[in-house]
Amino acid sequence: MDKTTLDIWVGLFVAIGIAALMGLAMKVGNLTSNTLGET
Amino acid sequence: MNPIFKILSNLGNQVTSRIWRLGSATRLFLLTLIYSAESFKRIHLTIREIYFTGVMSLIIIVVSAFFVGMVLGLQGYYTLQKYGSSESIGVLVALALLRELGPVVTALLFAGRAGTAITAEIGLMKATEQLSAMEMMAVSPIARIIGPRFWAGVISMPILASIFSMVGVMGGYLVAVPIIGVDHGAFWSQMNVNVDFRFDVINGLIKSFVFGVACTIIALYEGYDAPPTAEGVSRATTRTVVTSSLTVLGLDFILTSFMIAH
Repeated sequence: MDKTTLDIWVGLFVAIGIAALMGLAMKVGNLTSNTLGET
Repeated sequence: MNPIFKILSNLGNQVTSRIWRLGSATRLFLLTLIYSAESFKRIHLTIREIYFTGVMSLIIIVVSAFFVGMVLGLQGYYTLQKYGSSESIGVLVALALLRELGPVVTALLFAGRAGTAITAEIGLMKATEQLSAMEMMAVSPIARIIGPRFWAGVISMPILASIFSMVGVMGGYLVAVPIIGVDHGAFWSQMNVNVDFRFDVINGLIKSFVFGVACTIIALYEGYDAPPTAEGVSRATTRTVVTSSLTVLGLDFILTSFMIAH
């Protein structure tokens, strides 16, 4: 497998991982600006 | 020899052997950390290993997560229904996945899918004297072979665990909302209220990072230490799965108790 294809796959993998983490933070953990502010 | 002395001798031998192996694995771990800078000089090697350990494990992780989430949704609903709190199904699915099942099942699958591949590959490299050949050419096998695989495993595990948890929540949603008929708003709002980002999401990530270090170093050590025969490599591969699984479950208990205490 050539280097560019490998890089694309790994980049996609990391992007999916970050998207999943963001999804967990925003949708599941409800981490939005109003939850980070002082109460 | 007196049978009692023989039993004691065998026991002592087993304990000494285990401690020796633990020390040897710790030495390999420290050497890997020391040679990390050299490993990162050839970053394409690490990227290549992320492809083989992370990207190639995606299918098994996604499919397993989806089914685990669906089973959690189904089982959780029928249990919660008895107490009249079936709207809390979202919380149950999310907390079970984020705190425990996400990191632990990902690590167990990783040990079976990628850990065995790493052990077999390095064991065969040793059996065919490729590692010795590298040393003869003054190329460090730790920097060139072990380091990239170690960092690939450590980077891949939290990513895979995040994907597992997210896909699992989607599986739970699919069963709870469209199939069983739990209210869409109740599913997400109960989850939002009861899931804490720092305590649940970040602690799950810390767990998966620790499991990544443990599973990868066990796989690497078993391959590096494997007797250079076909039988030796096969036994090392089996030991990788057994040791990784037990280590992950043991570490999970220790980490959970620390996280709950603080």
